[in-house]
Amino acid sequence: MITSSYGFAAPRTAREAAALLARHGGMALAGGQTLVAELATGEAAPPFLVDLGRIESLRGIEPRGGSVRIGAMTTLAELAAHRAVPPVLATAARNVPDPLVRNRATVGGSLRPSGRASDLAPALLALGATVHVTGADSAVTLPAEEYLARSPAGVLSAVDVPVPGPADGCAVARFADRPARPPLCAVAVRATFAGDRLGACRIGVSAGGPAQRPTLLERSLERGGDASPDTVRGRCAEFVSAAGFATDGAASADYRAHLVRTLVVRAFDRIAARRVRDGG
Amino acid sequence: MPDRVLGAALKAREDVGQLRGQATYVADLAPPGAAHMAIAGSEQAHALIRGIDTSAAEAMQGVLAVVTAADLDGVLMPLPCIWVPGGTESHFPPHPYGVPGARPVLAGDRVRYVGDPVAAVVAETPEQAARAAAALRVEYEPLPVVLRADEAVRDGAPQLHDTVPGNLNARWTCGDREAADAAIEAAEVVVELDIVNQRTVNSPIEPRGCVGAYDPRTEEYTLWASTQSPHNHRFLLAALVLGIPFTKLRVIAPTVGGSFGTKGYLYPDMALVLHLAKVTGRPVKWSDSRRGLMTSTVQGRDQRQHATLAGTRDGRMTAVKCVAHANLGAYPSTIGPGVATALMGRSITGMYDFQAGFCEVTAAFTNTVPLGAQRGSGRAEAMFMLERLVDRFADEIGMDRAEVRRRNLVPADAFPYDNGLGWTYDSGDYAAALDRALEIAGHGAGTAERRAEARARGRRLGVGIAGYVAVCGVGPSTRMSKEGMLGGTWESANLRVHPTGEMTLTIGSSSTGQSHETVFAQIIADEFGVDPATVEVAHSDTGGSPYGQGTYGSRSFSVGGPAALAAARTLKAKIVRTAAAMFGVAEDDVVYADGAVGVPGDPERTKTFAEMAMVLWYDWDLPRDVEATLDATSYFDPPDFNYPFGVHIAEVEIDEETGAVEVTRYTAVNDVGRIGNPLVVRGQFEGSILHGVSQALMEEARYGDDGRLLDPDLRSYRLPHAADVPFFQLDQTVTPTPHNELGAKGAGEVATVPAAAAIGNAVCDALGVAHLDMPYTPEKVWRALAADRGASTGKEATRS
Repeated sequence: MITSSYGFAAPRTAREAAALLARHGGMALAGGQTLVAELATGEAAPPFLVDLGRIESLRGIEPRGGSVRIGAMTTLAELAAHRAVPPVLATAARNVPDPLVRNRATVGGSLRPSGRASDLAPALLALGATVHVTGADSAVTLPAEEYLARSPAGVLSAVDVPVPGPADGCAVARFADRPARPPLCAVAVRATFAGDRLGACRIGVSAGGPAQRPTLLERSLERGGDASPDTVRGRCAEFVSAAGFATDGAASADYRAHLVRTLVVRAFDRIAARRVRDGG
Repeated sequence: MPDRVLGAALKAREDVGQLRGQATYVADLAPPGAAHMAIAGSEQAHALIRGIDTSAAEAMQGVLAVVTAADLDGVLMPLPCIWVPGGTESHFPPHPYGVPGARPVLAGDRVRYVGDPVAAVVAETPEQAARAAAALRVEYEPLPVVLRADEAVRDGAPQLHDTVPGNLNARWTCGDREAADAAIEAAEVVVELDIVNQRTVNSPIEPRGCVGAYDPRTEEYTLWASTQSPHNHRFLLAALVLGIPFTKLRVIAPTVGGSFGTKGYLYPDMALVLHLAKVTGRPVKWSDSRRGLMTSTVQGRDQRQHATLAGTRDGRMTAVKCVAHANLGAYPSTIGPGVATALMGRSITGMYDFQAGFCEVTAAFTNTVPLGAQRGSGRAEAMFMLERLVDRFADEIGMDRAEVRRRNLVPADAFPYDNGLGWTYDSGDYAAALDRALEIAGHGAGTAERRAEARARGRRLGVGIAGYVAVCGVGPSTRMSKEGMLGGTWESANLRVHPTGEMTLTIGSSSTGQSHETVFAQIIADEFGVDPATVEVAHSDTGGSPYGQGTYGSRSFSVGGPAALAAARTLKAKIVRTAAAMFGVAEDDVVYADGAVGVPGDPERTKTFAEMAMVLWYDWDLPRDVEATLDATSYFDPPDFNYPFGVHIAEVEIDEETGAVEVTRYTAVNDVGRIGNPLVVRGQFEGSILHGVSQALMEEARYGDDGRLLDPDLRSYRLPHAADVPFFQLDQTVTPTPHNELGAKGAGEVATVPAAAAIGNAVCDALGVAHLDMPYTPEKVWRALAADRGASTGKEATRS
């Protein structure tokens, strides 16, 4: 039961939505998979709710040369099923285990800061997505990691996701304490190879916990040359330290750090296995 | 398909409506003019109430009434407690009638747990009521908080109740302390464990709810409630809480969406909706939320046990002893103190023939949600402790864990068997169950192969065996009275045959998902040789049922079933007598078979069951001593409890990197005597096992130091999903009980009893540790693995 009172509007354009948010200081309602529960418990009690569900321009998936534009109100089910979506991103969407959630949860909502880990955010980070934010009378485009760090005002309208090239290996890995639940930690890796040598790496991490936003680890693993699992394993330990993680009722910081290391290695193992299989 | 209807795997007739969402639960009721109630619960775990300012709430839109404890003085008496620890001194909150009190309907001068109801608001809508409840201003003077039973009974602990010195409800014992101590003293081998059997939140799919109505013309109250004991609640509410004539209260349970023990209790909300219906002149409805349930409804388990097992080097177990602290929560629940003592303490010998046993349970009050039954209650806590000890003992003497168990089983020729702690086991062949379980589980060489294969995949395999005996079929009334039960525990049935030959069986026990309507129809249809579809089964309305006690302690089929069978047999005898008179032959010359009664081989002098129903309806030309119609009521009070048993074997794999535990195989052989419907019973077994697995791997009602639940809703409180249900291999042995005509034993909760123990043994086996407390969350298991790695690294370092 939601007992708080709030104003409500369901505008037709993103600009209008941004103006309403600026005027009333409320919250945007996308798929509602996190927000509605918070409204029921009183954790969220915004004075105003702006429903984004009627804004046509926030929908749709459109290939654009080397990238794909994905409307913020695209559901995870649509994302998982669309042929133009990079497979690793579709897998991340499918990893959200509950079909009822996939049918409602949106790409934009997946980038909303919350205390829970996200399956989708690490993949968007690793792939190097850029985020379009529509303000009341302006628009900005910024990298997903910057969006997550700053949460700029306005309405998240779309993300542009670069399509990985033939030199890229991508994989996601997640850990949930029960398979059908949201992850305790999720990671995504995009590794760029030059022959057998491992070059630039983007690693998206979402480990949950209070005030923990999904983050990007960008590293070059060129030193050491090869891309053997042992090398990668060793390197992962170097750059994932417990310092960056939170302790809460769900997990301690050092367990989260351990899980992230484990998942990054598993993601690399998946990439390596695929390269072997594809003769790459 | 067996040729008999009883024992056939008929699909449950009540399932279709429930699966399609057509069934009516309390929350679906919408009496005309209904108003809505919200309850304001304490924000403090322990505090004096200095004042409650209701003015703001009263002035809010739509508010019809606001009541606090002061308004209930002399109107609603405290709720009673009806199962006290038997045979020992005990202390309770007060009740004006001198019976053991449980709790005031609303807290007056003091709150004792977070959520303790302090006020109720009635308004036009649920939202208005909730807002007004949130607007109440309660001035608290916080008091120190105590959350553990062992700490509550220490000197200097915060005191909860003036009438309960030292927070001690009772120090209850059973068995022979001296004999147990002597056997332990003299033993070649002694193993000991300290175990925390953690508290869990009872989580039926349907949270509780109730609707109260009052008719000023007749002065009658009606309560619709999600209850598993409508008759009992009618009696207790009318006589001991409202203080009204028994005839002025009717209790109805519509469809109830699960209970697991939680809905057999009196709760403040039940009394409040009735009283407020009278105050406001409107039906008053209250529906709990999932979040509300976590503090409004009794929680389960919560024992701290120091356990000792003694034996010989050659594998004979001689004595078992358990000294436990049971956390009753802030108030005794309706039957909580009995559950926490007798059901645990008398059960600690399980399947084994010990020379001596002793159990002491210190039941204490703390600043937590009141404790009640949870599927398998008491017995599950006993079996977890015992079966963990047996593994420790086997490891200590270096004997195979299955072999140790086999050597100590109560032999099949020993029944009736006195376990020395107060239970007399009725019947069983424990070795058969153990052998069958080991066979199905592929125990032995196969296990070793699977262990090695798992290790190669970075996973540690563990195997856990747990046997059980679970007292069920509550119960013989006289025996229960000695156990501290303040009430009868018989069951009843009324069978009425309509002129068309259809029947209505009205039973005293109540279904909360046990498929009573299907299985009881099978009992009747089988007895008369007719189609079960002609038997309607009614229950859960005190306005239309014979008396009954309710559904708890796995009793409906084994205590209520014989009552239904007896009613059918009474009517069958009447049919035979009537037919003999009609046909002008002696009763001995008339046979009832295959749905018809008559003289064998004489079609002229044979009538079907339906024809006889019509004959008795018309009542033409019948002898004077044959009364019209077929209508009989029977009561059954069993001579003793019954004792289902079985052996479960869990196989788990632990991911060495993450600590995640996966149940890869689960084998269960249960013996519940004769089975009325194998499909229904299989459903109970699967659900029961999952309940135990859930406690072992996931659940824990964690309280912060301030007495707040740390996981107040299902976003963080861990319950299993469909994907967490293990792969079951189920089988059964059938050993009828001599204590009822059906030969049936309890089946609803028994498979929960050993399940957590089987998982616990498997996890400890995989980890190679003496003991780890539940729940086996990934992080806890990962830490245990890390400690193990640390230890082995240390050993290597010492060696080099």
